[in-house]
Amino acid sequence: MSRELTNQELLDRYIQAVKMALMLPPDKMEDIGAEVRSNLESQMDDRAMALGRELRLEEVSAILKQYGHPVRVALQYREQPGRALISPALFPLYWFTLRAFLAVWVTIRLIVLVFVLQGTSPVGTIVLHLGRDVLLAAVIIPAAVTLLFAIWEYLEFKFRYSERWKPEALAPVPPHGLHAAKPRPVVQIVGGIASLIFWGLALYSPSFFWVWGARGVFSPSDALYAMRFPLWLLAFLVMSQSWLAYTRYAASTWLRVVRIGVTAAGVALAIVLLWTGDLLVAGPNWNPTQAKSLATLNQMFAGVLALACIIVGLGFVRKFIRLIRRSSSHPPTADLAS
Amino acid sequence: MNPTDFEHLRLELRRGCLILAVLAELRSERHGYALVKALREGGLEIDENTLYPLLRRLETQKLLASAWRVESKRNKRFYRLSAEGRAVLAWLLEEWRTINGAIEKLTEAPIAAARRKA
Repeated sequence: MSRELTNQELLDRYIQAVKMALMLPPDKMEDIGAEVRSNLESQMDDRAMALGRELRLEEVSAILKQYGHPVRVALQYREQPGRALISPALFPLYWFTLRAFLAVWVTIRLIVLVFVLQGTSPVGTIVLHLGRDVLLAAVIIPAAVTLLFAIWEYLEFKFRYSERWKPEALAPVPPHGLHAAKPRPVVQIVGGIASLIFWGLALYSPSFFWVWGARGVFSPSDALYAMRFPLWLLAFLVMSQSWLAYTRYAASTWLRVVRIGVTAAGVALAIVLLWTGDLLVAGPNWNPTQAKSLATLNQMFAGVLALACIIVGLGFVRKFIRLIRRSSSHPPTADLAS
Repeated sequence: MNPTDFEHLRLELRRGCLILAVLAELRSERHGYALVKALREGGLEIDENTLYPLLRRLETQKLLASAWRVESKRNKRFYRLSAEGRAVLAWLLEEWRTINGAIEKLTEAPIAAARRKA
């Protein structure tokens, strides 16, 4: 059963959405958020005074709707508000996608440069690789992402925030404020893409990895190899649901269900992997002197998996306790699912 | 001309006037919503999403000064014209009168000529 949204909660959601769309330093974000709130409160007070009573939720919603979509409001506050190539509706998603792509690209190339090329190529070659990577990161990736979004914009993909949005559908304010919640999807997407690439390479082409001076030193265990598809699918789902958190589906119930399902599946897969023992076994080019290193690597993987399970498990317990506390402190009609 | 193009021209024309109106209204201190209402009452309808960012830009240019204060139990940001803003307003008003006079002359001359022909 759903607890009815209050006027204050609706306003809080709106302000949060504006602040998220601003993409400015926290002090500016808070200042603008406070100003938008103050203006809206003045309007609401005015309206309430004219009516001679407190406003109803639908009246507050109408004021917010008339004030404009949070993305449009936020874009007016940016330094250069006129963006024709990519509209205010798409801009936050475009900006986020661009940053995510760049972050993944930089991470992968740094790993390649540090771990793969180091010791095997002359310094000059590494510098050349670095130069090419910088060029790609600075020009080609932004150009490609911009082109993609410009085409999206041109085709008027069904993404019209400004016409179809409802203030009530905006995402609820997280319990610990905006700062705690905002970086999560970025980390998840970057982590998800890195996982996709890693598992793709590790499980489908283990000989790609050049470690300890040779390729094919280790191979995935049989259990790990058997689970390659679920693992790849999990990484893909984690990435997708994080990306969807930046779309108009952010507050939808089905996305919450998917999020819970993906987390539960991740824990289940991690437990199964831990249960099966070593994740890496000796490969065709392995030699006995590397036994200790391989064992350390396996211990490290097991440790990371165990830690991840504990953290996620504790998160679930914390949420569960909060849910119980909330349900006991609210009247019987309170929302137990929120 | 289609309505969209006309709207674009109208907005362009209003943009400069709006700054002048805002500076003039802020000779006395007001908070954002009070300013919207004052402009509206003066016959200048303005989109709030245009006004508030404009106020911030004018403040960045040091033409306005602002301060947060509590009024009617609400925390509100009050804006007022700075000393620099007063000087700029005087120049802009002078400019406005010159432009206005020129436009009057330019638009009245063809009308008068047309009347004479008739």
